[in-house]
Amino acid sequence: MLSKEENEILTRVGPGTVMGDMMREYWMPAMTSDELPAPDCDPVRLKLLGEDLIAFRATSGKIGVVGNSCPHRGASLFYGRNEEEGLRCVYHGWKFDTDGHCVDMPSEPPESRYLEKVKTVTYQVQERGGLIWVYMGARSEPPPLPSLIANMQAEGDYTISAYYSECNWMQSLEGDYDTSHVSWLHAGARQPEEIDEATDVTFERYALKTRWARHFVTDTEFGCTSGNNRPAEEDSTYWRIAHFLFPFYAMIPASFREKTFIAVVPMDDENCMRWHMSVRSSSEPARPGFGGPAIVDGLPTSFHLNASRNGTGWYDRFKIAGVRGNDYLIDREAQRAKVGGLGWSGLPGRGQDNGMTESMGVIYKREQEHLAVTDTGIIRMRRLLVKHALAFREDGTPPPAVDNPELYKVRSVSTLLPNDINGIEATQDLQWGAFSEEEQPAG
Amino acid sequence: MLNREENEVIVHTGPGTPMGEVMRRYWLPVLLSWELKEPDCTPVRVKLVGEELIAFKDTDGNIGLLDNYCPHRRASLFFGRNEECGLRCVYHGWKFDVNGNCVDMPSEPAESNFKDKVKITSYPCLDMGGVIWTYMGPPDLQPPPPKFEWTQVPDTHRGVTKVKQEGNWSQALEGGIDSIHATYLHNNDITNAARYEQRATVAHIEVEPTDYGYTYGSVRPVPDLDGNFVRAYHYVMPFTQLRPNQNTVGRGDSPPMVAGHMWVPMDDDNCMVYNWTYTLAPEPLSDELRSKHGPEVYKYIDVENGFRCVWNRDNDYGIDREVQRTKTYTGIESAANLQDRAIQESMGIQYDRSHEHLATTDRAIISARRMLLEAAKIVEDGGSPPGVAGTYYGIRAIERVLPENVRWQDALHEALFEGEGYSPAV
Repeated sequence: MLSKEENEILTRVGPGTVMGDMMREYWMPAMTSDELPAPDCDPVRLKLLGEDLIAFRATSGKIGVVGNSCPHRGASLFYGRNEEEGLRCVYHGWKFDTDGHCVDMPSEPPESRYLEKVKTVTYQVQERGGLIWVYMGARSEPPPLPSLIANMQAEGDYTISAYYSECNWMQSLEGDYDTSHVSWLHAGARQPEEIDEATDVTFERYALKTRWARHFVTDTEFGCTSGNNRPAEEDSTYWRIAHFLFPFYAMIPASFREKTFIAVVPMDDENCMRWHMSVRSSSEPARPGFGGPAIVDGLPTSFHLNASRNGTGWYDRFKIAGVRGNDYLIDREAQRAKVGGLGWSGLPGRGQDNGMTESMGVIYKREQEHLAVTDTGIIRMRRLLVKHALAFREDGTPPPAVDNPELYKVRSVSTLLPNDINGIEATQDLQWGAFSEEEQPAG
Repeated sequence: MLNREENEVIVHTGPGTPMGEVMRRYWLPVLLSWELKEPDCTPVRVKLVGEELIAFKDTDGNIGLLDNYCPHRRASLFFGRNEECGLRCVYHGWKFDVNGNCVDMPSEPAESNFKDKVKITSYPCLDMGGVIWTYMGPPDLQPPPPKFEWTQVPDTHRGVTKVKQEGNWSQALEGGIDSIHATYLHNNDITNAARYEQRATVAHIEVEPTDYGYTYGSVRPVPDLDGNFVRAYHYVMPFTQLRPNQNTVGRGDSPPMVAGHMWVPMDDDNCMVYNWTYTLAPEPLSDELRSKHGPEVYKYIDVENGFRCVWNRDNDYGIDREVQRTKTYTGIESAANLQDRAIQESMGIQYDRSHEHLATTDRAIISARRMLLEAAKIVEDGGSPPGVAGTYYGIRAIERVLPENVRWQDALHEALFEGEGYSPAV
């Protein structure tokens, strides 16, 4: 539970807000490289932290991210002509390069030097591993990009998925760090016997056998690490280790891999873009949602990039088929039948997570909730975010991990341990990459 | 005319508002009975006096009306699993019974007793007259059930439907109470001068207060007729009107009926209009009439889209200017309260009463406002508002032609209240 005031701090990310200012200290995943497929391609509307931006790839291939409004009289640069190394406003022909300089002002008299005095809003950009990163902070020298393993792979060795959600970023991220809902929302109708032990490298069967867990959390340099455990065999305990990394990353033990991250990037206070990246070796067979088909058994997996075609509106990128307006395509018959992954909620694909987190209200009010043991990690995550955002506001204290990219190499873990030991401590080597042969994810 | 402050009192019905507290002292219509089809059926979203709720029918057939938001991390229970006598949130499996008790919390460790401490807001419901009703006020002040005559007749003698109106409840109520507009707005055949309403273009409105609201008459002197055409109505607090439908001149063949409306606030910007009608005759309504006051209505209403009319603000209510020129007064179809809705919604989503010019025909409307404002004060001071005691049981609305020197208040008194003990043959 948070007070109204704390909730405002936590959720608001526009320019000048406490959380928004702290978030601007970090690089943010903003687009996929293939959203700007070629030099001089169509400009793309981009919402980030409550700001309206236009992204374009100039003739040289360099990417520009500039303010939507032309500095002249505010017309949108979305309609602009992307040509000869710059974006030209179609209203009066003013043209801006990727650094925001006005490089042409043909509507002014030839003797005018006005163009030297005009700059448009512009942000620094880096491109790596299929992602376009944007830095919107105040530093003239931005910090290094975070060394996220899944974003440091060669072409073909990674998978990126994105999907848009119509709600505040924080409740969406909380849904990720809450790993207990997996036994219910995603698998409430699945039985442990359905899991093939031979391929169950993440021990999912134990999460289905025991659908409650004990939860622990500990602060780290990058944010916090949560561990939850439940009985496995007589002499073993099943542990799931998940991380929250500043400012909006979750690493959770997903069903088939650990070198993965989720970033929930605020578009504005009421909308967010969810990025899922993971390592996928090119020799590995494709699966639904991971380089696999977008439709399985007639249902959209709603996960892979190709699940929907992007439109040009501010909120038209990476939309899944099930949205608030159609009740996430809930299938009540499937819900009644209670079989398989669809059979608990009746919500197909990503509509499960979005359906829950969006249904809490567009900006979730945390004044009336009843937090439980399962929310141990969420409580800590909220507290850390508010604390460090206030500290940054107070005296500029650099927020966690912003200058230490190596911390982002950490991994989530799911494993069996002897009973009665601290799983968070005992899995340090796994968290930092020492997989044993048999625990190596398949492929 | 009301000043800004008074207008605010009338308009807002959310929790804690003065009018909201008044509303919460009555049984409120939640759904039509058929919307909860069978035990363990799909849950239904309900907006009522500013609250977001989920209605469901449990395995035993009990009706539950719970807060939309799971008390845990407030995901919507709309997506919930309605099974084994409770509604289970699909997020973490927490389960609630119709009384709001948390009866299962399977995601917590086995030894946890947290579920005993968690409750969800729930409201008691009853199923009466084809409508599911709820009471959202203080439990010790729950009034007797809403035994209007129309809720007590057999299903075969009644039709009840509903349609969503996209404007504040109070302007819908006022539009319904207003009698004289029928002469104009609802003139669906401008070439037919036979209707009494067309022969008398003015009406005297006379209001007689009662302990549940008031009864009121509109008295129309009809030329060529030896007397007045009198329509006597009832207004029952807070949002019910009873309207006579017995005169057959210019209306075709129809048994004597009483009809009415309830304009139920969903939130401050929307209301649900319940329309009911029943026959005073011992015989059931004909199939034709039952269909007219039932399924036929839904030709115009998108049941799947929250009972929104297919003709609405977005398409100017389907106005046909050619029909308006040659056939009907409005050019808007008369089905499903469409004409009323168009006019009432056109006043703005929350009608501002500080700019109007009221006339003599608005006497009943002025009385209703005064009564509602008074009720808000009474409830604020800890008292009970009018109409919670069941004294409206058995009242009827009546219309007749009366000799010029006869007061309807005297001549119709018995007829207006004679429904008590009413028991038509089935």
